Amino acid sequence: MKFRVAFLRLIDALVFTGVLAYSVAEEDLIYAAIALPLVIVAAIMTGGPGGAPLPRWLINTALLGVTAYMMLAWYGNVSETVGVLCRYVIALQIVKLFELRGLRDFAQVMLLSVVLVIGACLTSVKADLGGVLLLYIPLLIATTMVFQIIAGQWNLGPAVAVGRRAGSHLRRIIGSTAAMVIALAAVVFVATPRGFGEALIGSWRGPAMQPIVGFRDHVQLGAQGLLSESPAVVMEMRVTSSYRSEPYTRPLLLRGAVLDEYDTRHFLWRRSAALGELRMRRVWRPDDPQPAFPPGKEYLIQRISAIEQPIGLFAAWKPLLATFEPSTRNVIYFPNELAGLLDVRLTAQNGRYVYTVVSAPFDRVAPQRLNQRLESGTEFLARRRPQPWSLSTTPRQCRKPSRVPHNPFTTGPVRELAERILLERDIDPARAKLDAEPAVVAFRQYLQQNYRYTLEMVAPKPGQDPIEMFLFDTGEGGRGGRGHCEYFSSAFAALCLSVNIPARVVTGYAASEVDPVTGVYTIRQSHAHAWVDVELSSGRWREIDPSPSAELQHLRLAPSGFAATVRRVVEALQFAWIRSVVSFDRQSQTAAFRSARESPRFALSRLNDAVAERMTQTPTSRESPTISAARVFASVLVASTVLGVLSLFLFARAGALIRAICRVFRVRPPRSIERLADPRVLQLRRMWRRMERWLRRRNIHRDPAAPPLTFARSVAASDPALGAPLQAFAELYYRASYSAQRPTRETVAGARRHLRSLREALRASGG
Amino acid sequence: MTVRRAYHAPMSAVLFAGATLLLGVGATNSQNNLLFLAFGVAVATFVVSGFVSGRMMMGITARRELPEAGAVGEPLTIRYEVTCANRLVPGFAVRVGEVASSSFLPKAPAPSWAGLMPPPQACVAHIGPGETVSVFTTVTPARRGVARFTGVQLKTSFPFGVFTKSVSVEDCAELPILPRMLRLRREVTAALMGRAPLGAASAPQRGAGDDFYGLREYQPGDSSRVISWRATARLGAPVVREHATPRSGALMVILNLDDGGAGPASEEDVEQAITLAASLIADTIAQGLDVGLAAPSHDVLLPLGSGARRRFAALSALASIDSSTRRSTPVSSDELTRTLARLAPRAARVVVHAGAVDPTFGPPDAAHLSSHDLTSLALEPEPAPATPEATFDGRGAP
Repeated sequence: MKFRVAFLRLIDALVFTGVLAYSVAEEDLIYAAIALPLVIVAAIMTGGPGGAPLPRWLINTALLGVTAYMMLAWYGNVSETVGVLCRYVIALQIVKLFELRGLRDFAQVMLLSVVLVIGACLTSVKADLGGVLLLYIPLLIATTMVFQIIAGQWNLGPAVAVGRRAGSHLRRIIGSTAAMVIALAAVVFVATPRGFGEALIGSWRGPAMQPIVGFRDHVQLGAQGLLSESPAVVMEMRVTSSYRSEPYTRPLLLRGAVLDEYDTRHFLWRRSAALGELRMRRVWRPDDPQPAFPPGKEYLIQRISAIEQPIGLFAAWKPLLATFEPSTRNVIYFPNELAGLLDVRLTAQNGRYVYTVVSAPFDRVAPQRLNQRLESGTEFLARRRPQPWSLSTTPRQCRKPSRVPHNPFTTGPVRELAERILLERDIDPARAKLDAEPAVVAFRQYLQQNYRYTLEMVAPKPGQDPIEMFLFDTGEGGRGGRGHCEYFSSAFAALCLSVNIPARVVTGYAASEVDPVTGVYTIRQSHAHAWVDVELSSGRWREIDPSPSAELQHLRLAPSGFAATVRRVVEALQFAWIRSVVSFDRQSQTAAFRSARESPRFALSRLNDAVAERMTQTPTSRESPTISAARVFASVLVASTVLGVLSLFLFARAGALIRAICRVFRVRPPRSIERLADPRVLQLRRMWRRMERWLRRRNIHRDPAAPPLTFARSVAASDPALGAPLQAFAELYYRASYSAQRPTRETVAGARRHLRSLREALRASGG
Repeated sequence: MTVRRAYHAPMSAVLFAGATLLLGVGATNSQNNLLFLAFGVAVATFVVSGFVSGRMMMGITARRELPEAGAVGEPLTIRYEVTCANRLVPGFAVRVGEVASSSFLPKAPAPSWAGLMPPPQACVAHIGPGETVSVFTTVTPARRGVARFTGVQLKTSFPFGVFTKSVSVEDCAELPILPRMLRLRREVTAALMGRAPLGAASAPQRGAGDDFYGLREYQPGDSSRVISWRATARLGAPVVREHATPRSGALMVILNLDDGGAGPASEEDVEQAITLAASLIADTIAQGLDVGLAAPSHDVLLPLGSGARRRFAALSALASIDSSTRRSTPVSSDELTRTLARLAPRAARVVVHAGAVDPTFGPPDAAHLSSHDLTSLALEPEPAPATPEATFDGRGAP
């Protein structure tokens, strides 16, 4: 009866949580608001004392009505099949709740609830839905388990037995089973292959909302969803200037990736081969000499601490190319003096990834040399005299220039718009490249005055270019006219390129949240930003941010206050949900597998680093690398041995440890622990097990349910010679295990005697 | 004790697997990570269901306690004692029943209870670790015979109903299902006893029986245990109780399971004849008379006797009669007469025939009854014969 009552409550809760999940997915809590009172009424009517289900004819009429309504709704809105079906399922569930009679009804309601939640998953991928799912899945597990108990005893009347502490055991097994299911589901979720079979059997529904999290090293336009506003901290940066002693506190644009090629098929900005031609791999080693900075110039020394392994390197006035290899934890950097980079170093400290970038502004680099780099970088590098602090290069590591990036905007509506904008300001489009600054200003003003900034990402129609959608689809009901920084930057770069002004999209972070005293910049996920590099004159590139500055204030302001803290926690959860679940793709999967594979090696490497660092900090350490390695190895060996011994000790003496802790806190240890900790009790148990092994060889098996003394008596009844010592041993064993007195040395000696007698009896009987 | 464990995949498992597959296809098609998550939950449910039910049933055993006998049409209560020897894992929703097929316990003899009664089923909704619980179930046998039980079967679909895990514990036992007994008209036994050589209605004699005979005055030498203190107090003089001699009437029931010498009778006639014989035996013993039983075609011969033990022996012998088998060489009437004359020389004899009466069968002084007479001799109408398969739906729920 208790199980039945619990089950009725659970199924009501399950139905309501399912409806809540759909309401959250649809962002319309009206469904939940309607369902809640109906569920309560149904629970009172059918489950309360003296309650009875509604008559069958009434239920059938209601079901027919609901089905007819669903058909009409679906006929009117065929594209919203999932939504119509979900609402139909909600109505069916509510009606069925008034009809709970038998197992079949219960099963149907549970199944409908699962279908509804799957429909909710098809509708949205929001973190709120994830939160409801975290509630729903354990609830579903609990309901199913109690349902099995109900089904087991269905129609059996009094032929049902219930043991002691059923509720406690049920809660325990539900908890452990839910934990197992969730853990295993997470493993399956991570391990299921991604990226193939998409739309294999047609598209069922438009893509679900795909939030974009933080920095990416490419810009994919046309996705649906929203940009993350998560305030989660990505990295911290301390900047010092070679000119000034006080902290540097001016807003900075931290460059992450420079993207100069637009793929019109995939609406993707990416790094072209033209930028890749200067690649020269350098792997930093700890014993590399410190660079000597050329005097007379201002350099920004940026010490950046990333919270997690960064997918790229960020720095103000950063060079065109710099990447990071998380697998080896080596920085591969491209010492390009012309682009402003002098040095990049990366170490891992206390779980943070720290690197230092020393860079010079673009403006300080001679324009003609930059121009030369863009045209024939390899030849220039070949002629370049190596600096004293730079490393030698090998020809194999230098790539040949491939091609100039394709410019798809020289014809078409973007070009027409650019011409119109320029002509309105009396600028000749044909000469815009020669005097780019007025044209750039015109484009920027045009975008900031006519377009609205929003973090929402609106998907274009199939085949529609997102830049054209943003620029031209601005009428009522149009999808354009609004967008986030990537749209503004892309449109601005497209306008510039359409009149042959070199431009490229840059992604990174807008760092403005700075502590004026310490000079530490805090860079958050919400600071991710995109802007444009424009070549104003030959070789003179400038950073232009075409996004409306007023709209970007939220990027500059740091949240504060209690509400902001709460919001930060909520957003951190949302961020975790988006990052871990919604945005999980093939790349994330690969990274997860690599991380799992390398985590032991990585841990050892970290240990190695820590020991090595410690040793190198010692002033007297002037020993050879071999001896250092031997010391490291010895340290690791000693540490492993100590850890192993400690683990074994804890494993063997867990009871004693718990007892000692209880003594310190003056509480009585659990009786079982107290007994377990006693070595004599353990010794007696071992002896008992040995004795059972002997008996098993004689085909005398103890029923697992039979207590030792009962077993001994049963043996004694059939074979007194064996039974006598066995019975005596069992009594000793009982006294040692359950009496108030602890076993003494004599007890163990007595047990040994009985064991010997038993063995002799076994031998005498041919065992 | 043989214990055999097995997993079964019922239709629900197939449906669940199909739904999981669909979910996987849906997730792959839409690349929706929440659907991947739902797919993960479904797969995890599949795996965990098998693991939990297996772990749960690992330490659960059971044994059965049967009554001495059951009877057709009378409720039969079976007690199961279920023990969970697990240290941590409790048991839930464990269905307790009987092994119905020899495939579960191949080395044990084939069970035979299934043809006699509906499946006994009970449920242990919960059993804690290290706990033993008892559960009772009641079934009503529909046929007489010897029900052979070979093992107790424990089944569970817990936690998710995807898999069913069963544990079959060998526990062999036999239970006689006694034939149906009807109350006969009072004059039936009297009429049959009237055919006894010494007369069945003779007056009671003083003796050492259990029945009360009368009171008399106390005489020296009488045991103080026979003094009737209440009567002594009332009369003012010591009075002792006297007992009657045991009644000397006896009835020998002879069962002829051949149809008037034309070969084996129909099964229905045989059952009716056995029911009539059982009713006669029960009625006679209820009157304190001796009764004996002979079924020559099945080598059944019980000498005269009375009391509960005799009643049980006679009814058990009737229960064990297998109508499909016969003695290879039939017993002749003369031989039967001689045997009965030796075993029960002064008992009344009645031959119960399955089907038509064969007057040449049995002793010449025997009365003859046909199985067709059952309806007219019984006080209560005989219920329609029912087979277990027809009455029960196989799930224990009438």
